[in-house]
Amino acid sequence: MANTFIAIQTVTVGSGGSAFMSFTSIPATYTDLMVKASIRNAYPDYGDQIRMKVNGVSATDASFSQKVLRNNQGTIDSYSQAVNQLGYAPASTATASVFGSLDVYIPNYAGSTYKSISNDTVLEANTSQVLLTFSSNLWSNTAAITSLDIFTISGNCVEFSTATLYGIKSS
Amino acid sequence: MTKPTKTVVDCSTGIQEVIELTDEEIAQMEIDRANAESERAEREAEAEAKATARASATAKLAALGLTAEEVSSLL
Repeated sequence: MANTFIAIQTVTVGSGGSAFMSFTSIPATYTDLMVKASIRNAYPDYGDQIRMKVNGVSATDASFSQKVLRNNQGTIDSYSQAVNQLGYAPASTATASVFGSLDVYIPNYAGSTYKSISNDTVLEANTSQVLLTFSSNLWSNTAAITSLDIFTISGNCVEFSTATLYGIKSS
Repeated sequence: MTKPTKTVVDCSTGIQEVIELTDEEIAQMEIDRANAESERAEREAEAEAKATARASATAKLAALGLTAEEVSSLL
C-alpha cells in the first residue's frame, strides 16, 4: 500500500502555449508514478484528444493495448485501440478559462515487466459538454520509464496548463 | 513560421525549458491528427449504424405485439 506521495516536478505552460508537457530523467527510486494535470487546448472545437508518449515511443505504437470507456455528453461507448490516449481536454470553443482534469497512474514503472497505465479524465466545459474517459493500457515494453510527454493532438496546450509528476513509495 | 514547442522539465535538475519540436515530431503529430480524425469518423458511423439497427429491431418487435417495456428488456 502506497504511503508516501511526493511531488517530483511540475511543468507549467507559458505564454504562447506549447504542444507537449514533458518530464525527462524520471528517477527510478519510487514504486509507482502518478500524473495529475490541468489542461486546456487551443484547437477550434470544444475538445481535443490528449495522448502520452512513454520513453519517446509514439502514442500510436503497436506496443500499446488500450481499453477505453467513454461518456460523451451522455452517450456511453467503449472501444479498444493500439493508442496511449488520455481522454480529452476542453478546447477553444468550450467555456472560457475552463480546464480539464487528468489523472494517470503507472504502477511498477521502473520494473522489468510490461507496464500498465490507467487514467481517468474529465472534459468539463461548464455546459452540457462533458466528456468522461476511463482507460487501462498495457504497454508491452520492459524498459524502466524515464520520460513522459503529454500532448493534445490538434493544437497547443494553452498558457497555465500544468502537469505534476508524483512519485509513490510503498514504504 | 514558428515551430510548435514542448515545455520540458528535467526531473534530475528541476530546470524547465521550452524546446522546438523536431521535424520528425511535427510529422508524427500530423499523422496522429489525421488518424484520430478517421478513427472518430469510423466510431461515429458504427454508433449510427448500431442506433439504426436498434430502432429497426424495436419497431419489428413492437409490430409483433411486444410492449415497450418488453422490448427494452430484450435490447
